Amino acid sequence: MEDKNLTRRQMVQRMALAIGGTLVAPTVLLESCSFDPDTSTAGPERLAILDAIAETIIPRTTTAGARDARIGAFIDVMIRDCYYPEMQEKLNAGIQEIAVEGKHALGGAFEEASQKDREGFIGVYDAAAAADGSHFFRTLKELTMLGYFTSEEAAADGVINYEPVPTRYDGCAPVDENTKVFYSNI
Amino acid sequence: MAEDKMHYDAIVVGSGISGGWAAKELTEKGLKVLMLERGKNVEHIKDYTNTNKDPWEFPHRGRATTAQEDRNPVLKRDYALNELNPDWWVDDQDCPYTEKKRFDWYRGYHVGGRSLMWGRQSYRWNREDFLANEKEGIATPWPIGYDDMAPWYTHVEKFAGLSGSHEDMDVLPDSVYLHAMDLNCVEQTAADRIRKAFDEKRRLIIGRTSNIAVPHHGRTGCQYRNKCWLGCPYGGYFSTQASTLPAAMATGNLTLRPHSIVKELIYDKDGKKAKGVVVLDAETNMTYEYTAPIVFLNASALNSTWILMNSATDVWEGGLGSSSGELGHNLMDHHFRVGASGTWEGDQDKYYFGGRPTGFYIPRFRNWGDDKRDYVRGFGYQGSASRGDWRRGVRELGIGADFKENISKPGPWTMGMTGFGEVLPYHENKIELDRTKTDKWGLPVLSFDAQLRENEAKMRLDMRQDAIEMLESAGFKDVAGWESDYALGMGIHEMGTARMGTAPENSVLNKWNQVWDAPNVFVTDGAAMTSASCVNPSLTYMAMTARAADYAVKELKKGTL
Repeated sequence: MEDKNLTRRQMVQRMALAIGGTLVAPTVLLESCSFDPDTSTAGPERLAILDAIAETIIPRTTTAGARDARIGAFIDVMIRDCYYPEMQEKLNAGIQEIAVEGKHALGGAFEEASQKDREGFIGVYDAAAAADGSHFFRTLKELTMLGYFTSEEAAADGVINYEPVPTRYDGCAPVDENTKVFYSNI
Repeated sequence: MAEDKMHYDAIVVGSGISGGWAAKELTEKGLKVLMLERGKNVEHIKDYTNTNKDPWEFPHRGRATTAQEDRNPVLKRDYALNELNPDWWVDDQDCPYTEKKRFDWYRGYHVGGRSLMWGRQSYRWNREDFLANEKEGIATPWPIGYDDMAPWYTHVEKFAGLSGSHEDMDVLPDSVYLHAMDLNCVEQTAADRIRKAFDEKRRLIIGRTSNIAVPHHGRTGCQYRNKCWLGCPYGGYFSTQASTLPAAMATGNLTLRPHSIVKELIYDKDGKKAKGVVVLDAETNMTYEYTAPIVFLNASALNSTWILMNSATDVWEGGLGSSSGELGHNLMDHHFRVGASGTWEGDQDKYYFGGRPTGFYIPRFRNWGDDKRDYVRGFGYQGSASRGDWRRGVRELGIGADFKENISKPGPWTMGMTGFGEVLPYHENKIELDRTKTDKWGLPVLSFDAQLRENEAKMRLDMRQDAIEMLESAGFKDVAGWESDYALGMGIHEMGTARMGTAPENSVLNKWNQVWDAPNVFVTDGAAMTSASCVNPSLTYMAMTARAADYAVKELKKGTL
């Protein structure tokens, strides 16, 4: 991951030099830091259950999964900072329900169950959220996807086509079955 | 702050789009200019703090926190409240205002103003835009016409750098372009079909924008990152920092003073002109007086009017320019957030690469030529076609490996557009000083009392229906009209409140943007607008400012100011 990052920065600098004119100050480029969530208010159990829910939605395949991208920590920060108490309580109650009911249904801790078993259990929540936009799971799914598809891991593994400095625009580019979503910003 | 020099040849109040142009033109003509900016300095590139960050470096991926929302009840009404450039939007607690009726006021108090965050769409007004008030007996006639403005449009376009296509349409006169950006394949097909279906009367063209992808006056040009509003280290778009400020600084004639709130103009009632300005230092709360034979007010439309309202109140209770009875009146914006969208079944083997910093534009066609509606004026559309990304997966059924694989591929094509309609200049739509409420610096705030009226309501029906009609005629499926919450101000195109006119009885400013009651005071931002057209206004402010600056310097040399 770090190598890829350096390569990108070197690429940006090289390109800026090649273009001439206004350059990006190197200090600006080196200030870049990676995803560094403040998890000081979350316990390890909460992060584990959130990671497991997110991983159920976006599992590791040949590419990074949600747990690799620390989406549990991302969701915790988002719930803490971006939602008011009423919604926080609704989301936290839903997470608690998944933990308790999951343990009951799967015969052991939800986060320790297999991906297949977790998918079977979470599928019910996903169906409910697809039918009802106000269902707590709709928000958990949205946060999982927002966090994952804007993560360094998804970019580095080519799950999205992340080009920080495209340098050109092609309004009619061909695609094949391997083409990934082009990502330019948030 | 060096306080040795208190007298200049000209003072420019504000450093946004029009203030930057005033400073450039006046300094290049040899005047020693003091540019006052109420907010902090923002240095080109160095202070674009977030522009080179990757998305994962933002803990909330761009979204506002509840702490931000609690502090900013106005900003949170739209995209202005976010994690990416929060320092460039005015803090609602420091700078409150009064809403007799809802008005969304999104402000940028820093060097460069909203030139750093603007939408960059750049269109000339057409000949009829300047004539409509007079022909229809609405408000008051413009004192200038297209021919007065045309050479100045050309002048500012050459320096600002525009991209767009030459279309030779009376309704949307061409500008000077360095190049054009491309429509994507779906937009191009739609353009061809709409042109044919509506017999050339409706046209879909690439948006005309102050973005350039070629080197221009020391700027590298657009890299298609589509992150303009974080500040562009490549100088890809026109801003004060990328364009006018370096030109003005290069003359050696410009002094820029940030943290300088202009409280009022110093009015000489015997000489009937302004002697200078009173500045409140926003950091120290000390006041200073600066003098100059010329003052340009470019504080943004409603703040330029605020300064006039606070000036010469011993002569006119309502302030300088209030003798006309029009100061603070005729507040305008562009009304939008109504249109349609649809899906496209073809071109599944086509996609786009790069973040294009503009969409398409459909110029006005209503009440144009032989078209006649039950309202006056018209609207244009802005929109784009795109393929879905991960967001489409949120509401769809699906989790797990197959879902992940599917959602990482480009989704279906959709195309959407919103109209941007002209708001008429109603005398009843107004701002006033509210002396019962003060801001962080103890200064009185503005009070808003304005609303859309019948003409706009009728127009909005067409804005929705015509969009549906065009998408359907172009072959889009599942076409649906939509309308979302719009309040005046949301267009961030505040216009009027110190309009130009033909006589002191009907207007605050004359045909050279001079205050009738103080001819050495020029107002060349949105405040000066006598009507609104339906096209984005900033290019017109640039041209108007350059025109007025040229006149001001000539008159100064003649000794008439």
